[in-house]
Amino acid sequence: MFRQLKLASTLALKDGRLFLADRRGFALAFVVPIILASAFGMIFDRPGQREGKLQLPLLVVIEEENPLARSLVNDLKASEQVVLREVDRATAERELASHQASVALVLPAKLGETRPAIELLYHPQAALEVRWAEGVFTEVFMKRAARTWLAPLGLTATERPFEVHRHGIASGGEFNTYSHSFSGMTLQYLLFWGMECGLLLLRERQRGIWLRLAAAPVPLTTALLGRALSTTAIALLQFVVTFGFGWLVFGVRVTGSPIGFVLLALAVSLLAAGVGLFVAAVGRTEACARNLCIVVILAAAMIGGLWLPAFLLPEWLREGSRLLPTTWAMRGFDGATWQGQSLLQLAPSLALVFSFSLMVLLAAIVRLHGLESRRRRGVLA
Amino acid sequence: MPPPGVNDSLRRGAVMPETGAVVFDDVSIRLGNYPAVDGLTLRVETGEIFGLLGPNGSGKSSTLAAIAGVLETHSGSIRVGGHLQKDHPAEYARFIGYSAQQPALYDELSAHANLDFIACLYDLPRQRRRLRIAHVLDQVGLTHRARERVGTYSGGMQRRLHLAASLLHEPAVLLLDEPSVALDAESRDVLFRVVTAYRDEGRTVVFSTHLLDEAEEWCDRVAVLTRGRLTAYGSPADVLHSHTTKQVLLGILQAELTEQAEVALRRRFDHDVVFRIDARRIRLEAADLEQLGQALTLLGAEGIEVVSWHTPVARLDHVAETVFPDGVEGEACFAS
Repeated sequence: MFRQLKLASTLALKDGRLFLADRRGFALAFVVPIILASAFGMIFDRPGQREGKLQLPLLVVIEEENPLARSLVNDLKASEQVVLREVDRATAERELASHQASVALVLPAKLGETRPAIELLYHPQAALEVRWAEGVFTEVFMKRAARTWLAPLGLTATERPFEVHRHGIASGGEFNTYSHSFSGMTLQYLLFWGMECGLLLLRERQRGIWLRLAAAPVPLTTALLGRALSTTAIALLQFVVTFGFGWLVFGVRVTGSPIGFVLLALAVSLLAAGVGLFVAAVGRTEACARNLCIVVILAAAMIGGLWLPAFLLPEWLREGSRLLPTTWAMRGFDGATWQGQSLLQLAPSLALVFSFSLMVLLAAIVRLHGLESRRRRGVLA
Repeated sequence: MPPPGVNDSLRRGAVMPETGAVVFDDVSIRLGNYPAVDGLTLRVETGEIFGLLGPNGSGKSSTLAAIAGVLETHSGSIRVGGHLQKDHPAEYARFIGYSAQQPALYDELSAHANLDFIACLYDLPRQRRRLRIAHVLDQVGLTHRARERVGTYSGGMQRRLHLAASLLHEPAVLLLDEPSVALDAESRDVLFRVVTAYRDEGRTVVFSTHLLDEAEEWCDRVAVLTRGRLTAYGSPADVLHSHTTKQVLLGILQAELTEQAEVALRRRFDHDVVFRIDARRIRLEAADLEQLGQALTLLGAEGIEVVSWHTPVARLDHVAETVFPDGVEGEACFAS
């Protein structure tokens, strides 16, 4: 047993040397995920959203200058809900068509008449924003109307007769786009790292190195264990480096169970090892295996919510994504980082990712044993 | 646990006990449905260089792979030092140094790192590992390039390093699959030195080749395989004797023959004299020297001047057609 472990560590150390010698692999493992995670975080990060000062950019078109229109525009400008810009109708339509703007409010010439027709122009992808704009305008208009009509009666109640307190409801702390992007990109690149390890194994088989190992006193299971060990160890290192960067530069924190986070890191590192051996077990040629793997990993990453939050996906796809380990891994990481979940709350994600990783590892090892047995019998070249 | 004596024989410098280094007993090997080796029975003795001869596809590589334990036999058994692989696979692997045809090296690592990795697989302790790596690198003449990446090596240097890797753990039996293929003269000399030195230490070397002159030069004994069957077995002289039935004359013509002259010549010679022409070189085969003399006279009468000629000492490659009835590689039949 001790000898087998020593052999496995020898094989793993060799893989470590190969990893350090491969600059492209090194960059793929460490630099690229950091760059992409930072970019995704920056794109989706809205500091105003965190501070509760989310404002809707709104274009306003005054078709005929009059006191009422001007006073409404001044009220809108005073609102904390919108950021207003006055334009003519042609400009508004052009900016909406090119999606430079989302919503435009058109105040008609006959604004003072009974039931004037207010137009709200919007880009088709801004259905939510147009409702938002409608709500803000209604509030502003009603306040103005109340002041106009109630003041002569000696009534001054122009404020709404209730208070609103907003609370972000999640199972833990406040959403952090960097936590999400660093978790997602790290996970995605761990899978790519697993793929690279699998392709290396394929190359070794093609280059006769496995034949050399077969002639040495190295049982196949030990050789596979060595490969799984090295893949897992380097994946964990990748984890430490990427999250370390996120922690130092973007304040990514583990607000939940640290033990749960570490176990989750171990589970997805094992998943990378499983993916690696599986690629080597089912891949016929390196080019074919690489192309197929990239498609599968990117699909699993997208559907699993590694790029964007899963709620943006259609319902049927969200339901289907429950079958993917990436979905559960991502839920786990969100839970451990910004949602502040306990070890018990993380347990379902942990159990599912560990189970999936072990299943993939086992399937790959069985398949590789089968291939080796066939090769020894002369059935395979 | 291995039987008594197995571990003892694994000590450094150990050689095989008197059980025959490698013993084949009615071995058959299949590659899919194709019978690569069929009913092979032979014995390689301790301390000899043994050559497996045969054209491509004759079963040489399969035979070596089976000795190395990386290819299973369909039937029969192979014993190395009296032991079967299935009984003690790890100990069996230590008896053997296997250098397959394709150099199995990591291009990204240095020669030293490659050898260190292989040595670790054979459990060599750190100090011994260091000494052995230095020694084998010196043996194959790569000490000065030891710290450079293998990817920067020439093909010949990679093959030398591949050989060095199989020597690291001082195996009792060294298996080399077509070791001289694509080697330059310098690398071939290195290989020859290493192989003969290994034999001189009392160890056994089994190598495959399709080059008869190489087999004759290096081997104490040879086995000729044809379509997986043993067709000749013994010392190169024995094999030569059993296949030598004709006298050979090699000559150089003054000028290349025209096609018409060649056709005319073929008409004049009867079946007792066989001739071949390659550019200005001519090779004549006949049952005795008298017939060869008559053939030379006939050439002169046809106005074909032979500027120089000799009857070489009989060698394996001169009887290639009878040794390899399925065909020979390259121009072996014109070597002198």
